[in-house]
Amino acid sequence: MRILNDLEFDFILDDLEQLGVTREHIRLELADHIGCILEQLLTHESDFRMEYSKVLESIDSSRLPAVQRKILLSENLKFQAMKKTTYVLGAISAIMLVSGAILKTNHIAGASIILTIGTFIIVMGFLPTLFYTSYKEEPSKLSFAFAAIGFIVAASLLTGVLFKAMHWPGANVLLLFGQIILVTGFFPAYVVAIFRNVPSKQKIPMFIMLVLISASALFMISTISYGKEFKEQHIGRYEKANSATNYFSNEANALTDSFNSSIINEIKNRSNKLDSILENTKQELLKESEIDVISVNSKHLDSKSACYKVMIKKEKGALIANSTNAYSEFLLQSVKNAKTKHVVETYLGNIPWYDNTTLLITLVDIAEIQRNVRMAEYEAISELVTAKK
Amino acid sequence: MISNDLLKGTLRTIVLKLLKENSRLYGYEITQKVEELSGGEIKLTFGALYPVLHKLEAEGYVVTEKEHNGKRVRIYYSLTPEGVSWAQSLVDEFEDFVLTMRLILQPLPAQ
Repeated sequence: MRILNDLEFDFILDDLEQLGVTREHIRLELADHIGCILEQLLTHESDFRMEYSKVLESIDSSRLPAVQRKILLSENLKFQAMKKTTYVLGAISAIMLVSGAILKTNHIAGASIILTIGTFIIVMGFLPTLFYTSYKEEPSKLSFAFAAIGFIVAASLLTGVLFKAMHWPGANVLLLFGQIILVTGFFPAYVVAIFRNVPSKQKIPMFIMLVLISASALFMISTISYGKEFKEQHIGRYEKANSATNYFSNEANALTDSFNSSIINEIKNRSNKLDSILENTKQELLKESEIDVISVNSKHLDSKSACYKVMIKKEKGALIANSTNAYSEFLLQSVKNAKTKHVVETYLGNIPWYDNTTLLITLVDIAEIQRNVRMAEYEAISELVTAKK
Repeated sequence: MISNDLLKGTLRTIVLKLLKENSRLYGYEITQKVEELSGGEIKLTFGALYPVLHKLEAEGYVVTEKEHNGKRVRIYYSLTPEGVSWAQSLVDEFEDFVLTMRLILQPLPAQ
């Protein structure tokens, strides 16, 4: 071995600068390290430049700018703290989304707020820091494009899924936008980035796998809505309620045909009037949703848009609650028998205010209120007819 | 040859332990000692080593000392008092981990 002279050391320093090690303190340290390696290999007869080239080849000199970048980032404590924050935000938001989804599935209170906050943390906290730190570690035009497009796609899709789950307007627009950017922007950039680093033999299977994964993800996103079984179950309830309404209405009519009593007529008039309000609200909801006859294939069953317009803006929700409660009070004053009173209270209990539910749930609720009105009417009239006999 | 994934999680411990046992070392010296002590199994590249050293310096666990020899500058690393106590705790923690892994990975007794 022999010691490097100043000229040779200067050569190493200049060459490192040419190779992209632009920070002086890093260049000096790396030059000393390379110098130490060279000194082990050099003899008095060795050709310095030849040995130097061999050393550069062995350390993969093309990676030197990346090494400098890594050193600079490791010195930057703020950057390190940001990386740790990214992991923490990711963990918190993942826990919130999973918890929110479980609560939502079981219709437990608090699900909406947890899902909303979790999505907010991902979109405004985790994703920006993740893409920023990834870009900083490998800055290039491709990685910047990748980070920016990736953020837009992820933010749009996640926000769209949240909006869909919460039945807020704009969900479909966000999902569609996210899907378009995913297919036309993110996917091609990702394929290019992957293919640069993948050995030739694996490229075709990798490409097929990426296509399948993307197609599956798109398909899954497009099918977020009520499941078929859920719809069948609730439409079944809706139809049974309608059927029961007609039955008890006919039974009550049959009872009143043979009796002419002012109180019975009053009960009949009020229940007809209330039934009319309920039926008109149902029809208005269906019309607003562009549905003629409700079925499993009907669109917008999981939407809250029509319900918002009819039940909130036109205040039909409040009208139904107030009218039904008033009818219940009237019936309770009209009947004497404690058992009948109890039955009326059970059917007409305390009708709640409309609670921002979907079209399908709202229609089922209204149909069941209609049924209960007719059942309470029938019980009340039965008692009054029996009393008169 | 030890895999990079295993090495990534232990590099700090290795560097701190070496600095604790030697008053001061420079980068190339650290790579040589690691290779020697590991019987050639671990060959540290400067891409792996220097980010760790600079991060330790930024965190206050090591200090640097420059020695000029003509145009050549050699940077020596040594532990601060915080670095000394942290090095010991990392080594203790890793030794507990190795013991635990041995218990898990030891072959089952013949039945």
